[in-house]
Amino acid sequence: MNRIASVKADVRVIIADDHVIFRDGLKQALASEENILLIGEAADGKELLRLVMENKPDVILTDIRMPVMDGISASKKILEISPDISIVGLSMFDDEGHIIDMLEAGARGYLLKNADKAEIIDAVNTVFQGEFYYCKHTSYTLAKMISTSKFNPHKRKEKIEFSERELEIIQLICEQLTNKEIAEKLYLSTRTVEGHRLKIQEKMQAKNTAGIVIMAFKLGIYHQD
Amino acid sequence: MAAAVLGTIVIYFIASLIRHQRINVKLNQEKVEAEIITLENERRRIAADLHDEVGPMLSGIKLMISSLEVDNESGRDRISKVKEYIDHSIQRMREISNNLLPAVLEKRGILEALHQLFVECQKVHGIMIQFSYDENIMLSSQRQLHLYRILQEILHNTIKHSEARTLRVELLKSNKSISLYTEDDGKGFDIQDRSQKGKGLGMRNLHSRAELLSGNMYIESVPSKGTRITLNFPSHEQDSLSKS
Repeated sequence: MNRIASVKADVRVIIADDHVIFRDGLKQALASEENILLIGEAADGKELLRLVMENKPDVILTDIRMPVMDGISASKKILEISPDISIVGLSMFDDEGHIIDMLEAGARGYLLKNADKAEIIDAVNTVFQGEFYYCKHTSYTLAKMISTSKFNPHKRKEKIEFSERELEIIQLICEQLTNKEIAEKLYLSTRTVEGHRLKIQEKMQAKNTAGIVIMAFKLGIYHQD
Repeated sequence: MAAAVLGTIVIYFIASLIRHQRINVKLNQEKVEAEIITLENERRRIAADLHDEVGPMLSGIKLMISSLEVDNESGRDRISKVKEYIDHSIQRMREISNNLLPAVLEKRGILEALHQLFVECQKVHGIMIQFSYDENIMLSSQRQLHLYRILQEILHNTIKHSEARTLRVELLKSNKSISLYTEDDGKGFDIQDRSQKGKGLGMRNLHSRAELLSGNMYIESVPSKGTRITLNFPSHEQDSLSKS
């Protein structure tokens, strides 16, 4: 996990979710982080919009499906007024369609609701720094859907070059093999594979496996058999 | 004269008997259809409640537990155990909700849903499933669900009773009809013997679903030679009231 020691500035966060229990859990998780300051909580999109107008946050964590106004409409409206706010969508598993809509509406990342506290903190810090965050538990279907969606934050001019070995490893990562399995398959040590993986992540500016898979699809490196 | 009158009465009597019989069949079919639709609606509602209500609650509880600060080893161990249990509960809830109504069926259609069902079955039960199909099979969501349930039932029977190692599934489209063809290499059963004992609930469901698709289903099985099931049904919905 990337711990961001240099972030001293408080990240001002607003959360929105219609389930009190989930909101409470989220609040507790954020409260334990020194650099995160929770400045408001909403139960639906409309309330979120009002809170954002009153008190501009740096990051918003919002449920996608909510009564009155959903997270997608709320995000569009918020970003029209304040495009610099980073929004992270929260969703239950197998809600791929909604996650895509959320990213296309301008969210900078998404988390599945069963994510760990550490991952939530990581996501908040990542989007606060202007990067994108894909949840660790991204399914293969979702990765493919993201890569073919209109969501395309990686508008980098220079072409990324990969070595033969790296391309081979990317292929196996996309096939959901672990470092150990890749090592066995390619007759390498696990350490070497780890090294390659880090290098790939760096080149792709990816934070985790989900990021690698999505980029591999986007760059046309991974071809399904 | 008397014979003619008698004849007319007899013909009228037989005709009305047949008519009543047809009405009965139709009513019965409508009843079965209503029951199945009620059942599916209930399943959909329960699946949605689990997914939308219970899921976020469990996730919230997990986050709250994760935020507890404990300064001793045994406390930390217990917290991580509880988190593990909650994850397990979420996973089970997801499976239960998916068994009630596979989300993929509504979102991505019958072919994708069947793919997932077969992959899952191969993984869990070790049976080899060969699936071939026509890409352009289009069905209304209600009919997709019937077809899906039929395949679920066939799969269930194959795994539970047949001891088969391989199941071949074909879903083909011709001009106006769709054919489902399944064949396993299991131990088969004696159809005569089975029909004397009366159909089991699963078999009855299978036939009711086939009827709802306005289809014809044939089951062929020979002991130690495997089981073959063929289902043909029109590719376009028919008004169940206008036939019969």
